[in-house]
Amino acid sequence: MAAAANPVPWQMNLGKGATTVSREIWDLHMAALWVCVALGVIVFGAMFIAIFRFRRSKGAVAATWSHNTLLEVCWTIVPILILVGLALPATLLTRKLYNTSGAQMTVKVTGYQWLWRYDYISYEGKPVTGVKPIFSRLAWNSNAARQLDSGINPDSIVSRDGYHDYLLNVTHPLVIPAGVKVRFLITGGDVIHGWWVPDFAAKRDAIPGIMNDAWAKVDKPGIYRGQCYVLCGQDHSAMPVVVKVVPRDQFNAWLSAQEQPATLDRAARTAQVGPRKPAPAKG
Amino acid sequence: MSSTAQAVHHEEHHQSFFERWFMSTNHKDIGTLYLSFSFLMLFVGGSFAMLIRAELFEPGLQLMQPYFFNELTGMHGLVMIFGVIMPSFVGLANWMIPMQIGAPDMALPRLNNLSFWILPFAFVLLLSTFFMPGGAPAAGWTMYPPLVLQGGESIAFMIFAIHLMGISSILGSINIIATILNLRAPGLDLLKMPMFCWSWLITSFLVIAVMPVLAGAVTMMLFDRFFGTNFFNAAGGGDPVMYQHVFWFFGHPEVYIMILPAFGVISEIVPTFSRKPLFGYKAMVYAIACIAFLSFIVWSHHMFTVGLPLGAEVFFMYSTMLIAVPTGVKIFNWVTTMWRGSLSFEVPMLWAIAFIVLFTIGGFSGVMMALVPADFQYNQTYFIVAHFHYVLVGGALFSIIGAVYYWLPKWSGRMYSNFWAKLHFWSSVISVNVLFFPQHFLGLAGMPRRIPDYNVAFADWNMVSSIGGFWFGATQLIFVGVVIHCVFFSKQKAAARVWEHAYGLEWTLPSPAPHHSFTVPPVIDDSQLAHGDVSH
Amino acid sequence: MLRMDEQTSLNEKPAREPTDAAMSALARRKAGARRTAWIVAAIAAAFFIASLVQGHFVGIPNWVPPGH
Repeated sequence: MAAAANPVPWQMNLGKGATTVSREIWDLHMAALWVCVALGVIVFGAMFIAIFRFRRSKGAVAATWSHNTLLEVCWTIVPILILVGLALPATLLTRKLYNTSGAQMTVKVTGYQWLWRYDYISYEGKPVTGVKPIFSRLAWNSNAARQLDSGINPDSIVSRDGYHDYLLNVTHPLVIPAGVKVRFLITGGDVIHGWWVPDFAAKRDAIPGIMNDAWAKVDKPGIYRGQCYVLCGQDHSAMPVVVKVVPRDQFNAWLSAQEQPATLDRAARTAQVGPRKPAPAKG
Repeated sequence: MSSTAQAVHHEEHHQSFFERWFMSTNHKDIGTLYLSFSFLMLFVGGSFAMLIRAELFEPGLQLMQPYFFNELTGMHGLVMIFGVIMPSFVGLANWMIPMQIGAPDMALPRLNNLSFWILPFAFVLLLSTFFMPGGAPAAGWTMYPPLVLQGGESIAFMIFAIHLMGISSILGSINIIATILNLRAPGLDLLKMPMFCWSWLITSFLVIAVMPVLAGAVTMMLFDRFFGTNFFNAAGGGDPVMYQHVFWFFGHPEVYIMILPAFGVISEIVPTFSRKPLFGYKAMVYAIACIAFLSFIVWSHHMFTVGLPLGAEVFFMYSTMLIAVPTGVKIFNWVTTMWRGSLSFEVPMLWAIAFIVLFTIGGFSGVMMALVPADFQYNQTYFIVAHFHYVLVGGALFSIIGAVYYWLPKWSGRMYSNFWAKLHFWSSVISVNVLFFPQHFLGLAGMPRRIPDYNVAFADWNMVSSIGGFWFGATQLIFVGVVIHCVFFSKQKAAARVWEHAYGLEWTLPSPAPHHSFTVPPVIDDSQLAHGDVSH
Repeated sequence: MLRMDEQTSLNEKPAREPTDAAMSALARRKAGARRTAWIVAAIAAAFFIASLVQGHFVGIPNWVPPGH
């Protein structure tokens, strides 16, 4: 499976990500960036023209004015208009970020020092039962390399698809289906953590006692990597978030395989209990 | 009456070193103490930064355990904020406000002595936590519970140190407010005051309002840790997010406490070297007041990802964006002050110009972060680190250094070496960009803040940033040299009006400024004030 | 140490001898300053108490003193 838009060396800009929301955020980010660049060109441009034209060493004589109402009104009003232009799309997009309704799947995410626990709560309108929670901690090879003076070159940690995933790989990733709106219920088990996959633009603090939610609908299968972003103690840098997005049929097969042992177990017990005479009730 | 005259006479007696520096009630000596203390702390906090950048030079852990790294990041923040930026602005206020408003001293001189001498003890307490069992608190300067409560007994020392720093800055601000409101020379109306005084008057009110709130937050934390309360403990019915609300209700005005006096300094320097009155003096005053007001209603933009209701997110986004308007007015006014001026580029002006550029860059990233959806991608990443270092190093620290270069000849009576001061400037302004600009890229690529170790994809820009960091750190040693040379060894005497077009009461005093100035209020001559025609 | 002691003594003498009228005006203003200081200190105290009251509503109702 191809690696998704995970960080690359010398990266200078935000990635576009893998969801419609993340792409819209990228557009908003670029719009804000270009507005800033344009304003910067105007302000710094004016300043540098002043610096080069109005030098005393070139015989510039200072004007004495210190006031211009029209100008001052202009540069109060125009920035307000620009800000309104940015605030409108941002408001609409915030609403979208907050709209977790219509999710076909719910996963509970709990942050612990220093691992993530994922519980499948429901899928396609049915509660998920019998699937063991996924405990997602830093993969052993990264863990060995990250020790003080380990002597292991972090660059030598490479995933199967060739991504240098030092500190961004885990023992068991969260697996979700592609093309499905997944709702993440995010909470913390001990201190505050932060669950973030940059490519999903799904990011919420994982706070003990509080249940936050975020959502993502990822169309492209792949491995998406992020990290805990709220300082959570000594191994804060060592609790990555890795989400494996797989095609839906593959996920369904995987999920039923996960559910299988439990189902089998129950079936076996039923089979056992079936032929036997019910035990006499104890008095 | 005669007792006052005697008091004046008494102070003219030769003071011993101890009397002069430890028991001083003279605003100039106390200003010097504040500035020297913050200068020392700059190197303490700076050495933490050097260790942080050294660990981040390459991926993998080479120098320290992650826990110690966390101690360093938190202490770096606390020392730089409470030990460097705030005291150095108070030091500038002590030196300059009485001289700028024609007062003989601060209104409450003995309180002034107390508010300084609390500080060294507070920092001894704070820094001693490094040597305690369990180490220093390692939850960042924001000290979020529940994490901070996992720390050892040392958090009690940190909390007490924060209480002391808070008391110190509250007392300092009370003094500044009382001085400005009551001790102005007759005829020096509020709207004739230099911008530096205005910025500090408004800043003082921010300090008065928010420092007690920080004290409240850490007091509750103290009770949670040692006395069994559950203010911030969800399992006991408390709310960890409430700490963040209380903290940032302090924390956001706090960032303006650190930048408004900088606005004041820049508004003094730019007109002097543009040889033109400050453009839109009244607009500048109103802009500062407006920023100060807005600073109280934006705090949750630090918490966009904690799960606020949608309405709160949108409200805090709008209020935060609104701050860009008065801030923009200030920047436009500085640039317009330079426009059609007669510019010369002495050292203070260089720092002021660098301030305007770097602070504006920090402001731009601030506007980007105000957008809630975009902030979801920036929150708690190196993009944030880059942003607040642009406004606090390129902004606050640069303005302080500019202010020192502007007023040092007035304080010491001697000129510093222009060559070394310019070298200090150019080396700083280049290295600070090498240091902090790549951190924008790291944040956008997804690198969280406060991590000692990172994926190899982040390696290149981190190395660039670290090189810039060592360069910037080493450059500040030049500053030490320039200041020491100027104060103790320079042969070049400074004139009373050190800078050709410097207006304001402080320049009517001889250089060095006499130990007691304006014992008789000066007669105010509007042409000697910095703003020329202030009717607009 | 920014000024040498000999410089201090050179510049020590105020430009003009303070007159009685000017000094009493100063004393009056200093008394005003003390009043201002107390008012401002009261504001600070009010903010401190307000932050604790705000915490009280969340924290204190659930307080179980140690040993209970």
